[in-house]
Formats: sequence, structure tokens, C-alpha cells
Amino acid sequence: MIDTQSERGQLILAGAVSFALILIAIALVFSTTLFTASVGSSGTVETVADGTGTEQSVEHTTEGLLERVNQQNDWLLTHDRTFLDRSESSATELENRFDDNLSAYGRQLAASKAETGPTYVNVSRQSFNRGVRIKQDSFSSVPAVAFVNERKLDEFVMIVDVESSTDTAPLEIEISESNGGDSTYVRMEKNGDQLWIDSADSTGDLDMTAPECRIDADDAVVSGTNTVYVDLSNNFAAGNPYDPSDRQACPEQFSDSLDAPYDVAVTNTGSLNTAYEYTVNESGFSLPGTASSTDILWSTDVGIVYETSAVLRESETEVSGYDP
Amino acid sequence: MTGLDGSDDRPPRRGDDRSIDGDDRGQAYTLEGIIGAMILLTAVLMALNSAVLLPSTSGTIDRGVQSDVGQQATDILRLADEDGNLSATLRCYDTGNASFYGATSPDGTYGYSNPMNNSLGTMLEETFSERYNSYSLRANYRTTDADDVTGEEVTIVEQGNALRKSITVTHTVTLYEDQNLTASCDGGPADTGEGLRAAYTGDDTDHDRDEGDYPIPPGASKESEIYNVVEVRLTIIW
Repeated sequence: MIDTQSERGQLILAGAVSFALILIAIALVFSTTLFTASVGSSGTVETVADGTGTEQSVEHTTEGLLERVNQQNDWLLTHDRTFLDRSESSATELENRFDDNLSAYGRQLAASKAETGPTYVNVSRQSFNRGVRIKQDSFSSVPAVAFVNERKLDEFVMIVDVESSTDTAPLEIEISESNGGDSTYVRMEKNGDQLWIDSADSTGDLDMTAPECRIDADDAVVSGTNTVYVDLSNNFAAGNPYDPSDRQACPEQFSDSLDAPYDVAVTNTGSLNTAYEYTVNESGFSLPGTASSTDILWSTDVGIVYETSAVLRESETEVSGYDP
Repeated sequence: MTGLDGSDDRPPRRGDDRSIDGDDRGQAYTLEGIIGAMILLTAVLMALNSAVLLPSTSGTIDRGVQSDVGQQATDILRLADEDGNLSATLRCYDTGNASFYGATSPDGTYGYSNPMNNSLGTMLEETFSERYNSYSLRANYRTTDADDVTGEEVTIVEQGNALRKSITVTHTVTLYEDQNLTASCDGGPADTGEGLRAAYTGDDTDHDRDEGDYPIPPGASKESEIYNVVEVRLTIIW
């Protein structure tokens, strides 16, 4: 009887020790779980999200800077027919200007992030990919040649001098995917003081009796001359491109339906007096007879470092000022 | 002291030759008791330490809800940046009335009753206001010296303040020298023709908010394409 009581005490003690060990185990498990669920990953996830947002901002700004630096060599795109008085910039000058702007942006971004929290951001330019802007800067008929073959093409704009053109023959352009895919045909012809434009995926579907759009010529671009501005890359035409309400969705198909690289050819020269301009992602090829070229920065590789106490993200991305 | 069975239950004395199996058992009990207590106390201490005190400990903030709301707010800012609406909102300033276009609050900001009439305003309205959440939108900028990290802030939308149940997300937007003010957030023209730098000083050479001058200053030199890099801060209160 007495021995039994004595052993019960030891049993209770052993039970207490076991209970304590179980408590320790539970405490350890809960401690780890709580940390993992509430503290461990959430901050890191939010920091990574901020890092990706910062990268998006950098890419967006780089694109904007490329567009603006290249504008020095834009003429028709900026609706500016005074280009003959403007000096062109060499590729090196464009690159230096871009670097200066990217440095200024990087400093401001770093200051902005440093103020928000202990975050280090660095933006650096790695390399450039040059392209060319090709232009026919005087009004004449467009030669029956291939504009561009198997290259990326963007900012394809034309200014048609309706007043000095004759309405005897339409201008017809074929834009096709270089891999033998789909094609778009654009036909333009003068009709009185208007330029009629139609587009289709086959020449048989072009119907100039009921064209997609009829644009009234205006002297908004070239003072004293009634012209129509046709932006093939952004699918609009207007007598006055400065007035958004004057723009008509025309032609409808090129940039929405085809994928780069392109083959572009004039299939019918017509009798329209036209100045044109477009950009391509390469240089060093023969130009159409009446055209000349100038340098542009097609794209750049930008390195981004985003570092906090929890996260280090390093990335390099190619950003283009053009989106063919 | 005599036990029930007539044995001596007293603890063994010094020099006593009784074995541990007999009278020494009391000391063993004491020792075991102390060790057991230490283990129990250690367990309690660890258990108490494992209760991490977080903003959500009181139960008023659900981390899951906070994370969801934060993700929605982040997505809205990124979408608005992608389509140019975030930049347009920063430039949608009416210098004639010293307020953002369409804003009727006395301080020139948007409030509950008159959200921005653009896609950013629509997204914020449909995502948060219609669910009885409120939000504020602020623009944090730096002055001409980029090394000076003491930024300033301009409020665009103010629907309330809250210390708890709120989350702030940010997105960086670049304003360019060649950009103009716009009235698009109130259904007006996309370009009012007023350059940002000119609007900052107005008709004279000094900046004065009371005269309706544009609140965000240039943050870079005039030769740069960059006007300023602005951090947009969206705070959601639920």
C-alpha cells in the first residue's frame, strides 16, 4: 500500500515532466508557425512587389526618354515640316543625351526610394541598339520599291499633298509579315479636296467607291498647302493631326493585325505627291531612290538594382522606344 | 517520526547509514521537484515568448484582408501608369481655380462626392468606394536638388485618415519637360497647352500656390527631358 503511494508520486512527476516536454514542443512549433505566417514572408513579398513596380517605372521612363531623345531627328512624326531648317544629331550625340537623362532620372529615383525607406536603387545603361529613320523629305510620287524587308518597322507616316496631286492613279502599298504570313493592302487616291483611303487583307477587297475614310485636306501641317497626314503605324489619318477630334481611324488593319518583322512594298506608285518617313531597327542597307536616312536609338539594355535589407533584385531588360 | 508501517520516515541524517532507497528518497523527491519546476517554467517562458505581438494580435487587422487590399491598390496604380492615367492625374491641374480639375473641396482636392472623372478615378471608385472603403491619393516629390531627400507632398484625393486598418502602396511616375497640363480628369481637353515649368511659376517668376500655380516643382535642370520623378502614394482605409 505504502509502496504504491510512493510509486504514484514518481508517476505524477514523470507525467509532469512529459507534459512539460510536450508544452516545449508545442511552443517551438507555434513559435515557428507564427513567425512564418505573420512575419517571415509577408514583408519580403511586399518588398518584392515594390521592386517589380520600380522596374515597371524604370522601363516606362526609359521608353519615354528614348522617344524624346529621338525626337531631335523626327520630322513628319511630330507633324513638323520645317525639318529642313533643323540640324540632325548623330547617333553618338543621341546616346550622350540619353545617358545624361537616364543619370538624372536614376538620381531622382534613388532619392525618392531612399526617402520612403532603406532602399537602394540604381539604374544604368548597358548598351544601345541603333536603328535608322528613313525619309523622303520632298513631295513627289513614291517610287515602286520595297521600303523595308524583314525588319521591324514603326512610325510609318506619310503626308500627302492633295492640292498638287492628280487623281489619275491611286497609291497602293502592301505590308506583309516577313515569314510569309498575312498581308495588309492600303490604297489612297485623291478625290477633289479629299484623300480617300481604304485597306483590306487582299487587293480584291479594296473598294474605292466606298472607302474606309474620306479625309478633308487641311493646311495644318504645311502652311498654304492642303495636305492629309496618314499615320500607318497608329492607324489614323487627319487633315489636322494636331486636333484629336479631326483624326479618323484609318487605315484599320496594319499595326493591329500584323506581327513584325515586315516586308513593305509599293505595288502601285500612283500619282500622289507624298513625303514619308519610317523607322527600322537596323541600318546599313540600300534606301529607296529618293530617300535619305538618319540615326535613331532603337532600343537600349538597362540594368536595374533594387536592394533592401530583405531583398536584392538585379535585372537587365531591353527597352525600345518603338513598338512595331 | 514513525510511518504507518512503523518505519522511520524522517529524512536521513548525516552519518546515518540508511540507503537512498530508504530515507534518502525525500532528497530525491525534492531534487526531482525542482527539476520538474524548472522544466515547466522553461516551457511557460517559451510559450509566452512565442506569442509575437503584431498589429493583428488584437484581432482588429486581418493580415489576409490587408494583403488583398494592398494588392488591389498596387494593381490599380500600375494599370493607371501603363495607360498614362497616373501621369495625367498628376497634371490635371486648373491654374485658374488653384485646384485639380473638377475638385470642389476648399483646398482644391477631390473628396467623397466628386472623384476624378477618368479611368483611375473609376477604378478607385468601383474597387474601394463602392465597398464603403475610403482612400487618399498623394504625390510626393523632390525639389531641384536631387541629393536633398527631404521631399514634399501634395494631396490629390482626401477621403479621410486612419491610423489602423489602412495600407499605403506607392508607384513612381516620371513627368517630362515637354508635357503640358491636362483637363482630362474632368472630361476636358487632354492638353491645355500649359507647360509644367511655366505653370509652376504662373504669370510671374515666383511660385505661389494661392495664385493657382502648379504645385509640383521642377526636379531637374531645364536641359533635361525629366521634369520631376513623383512618388504617388495611395492609402486605402477599410
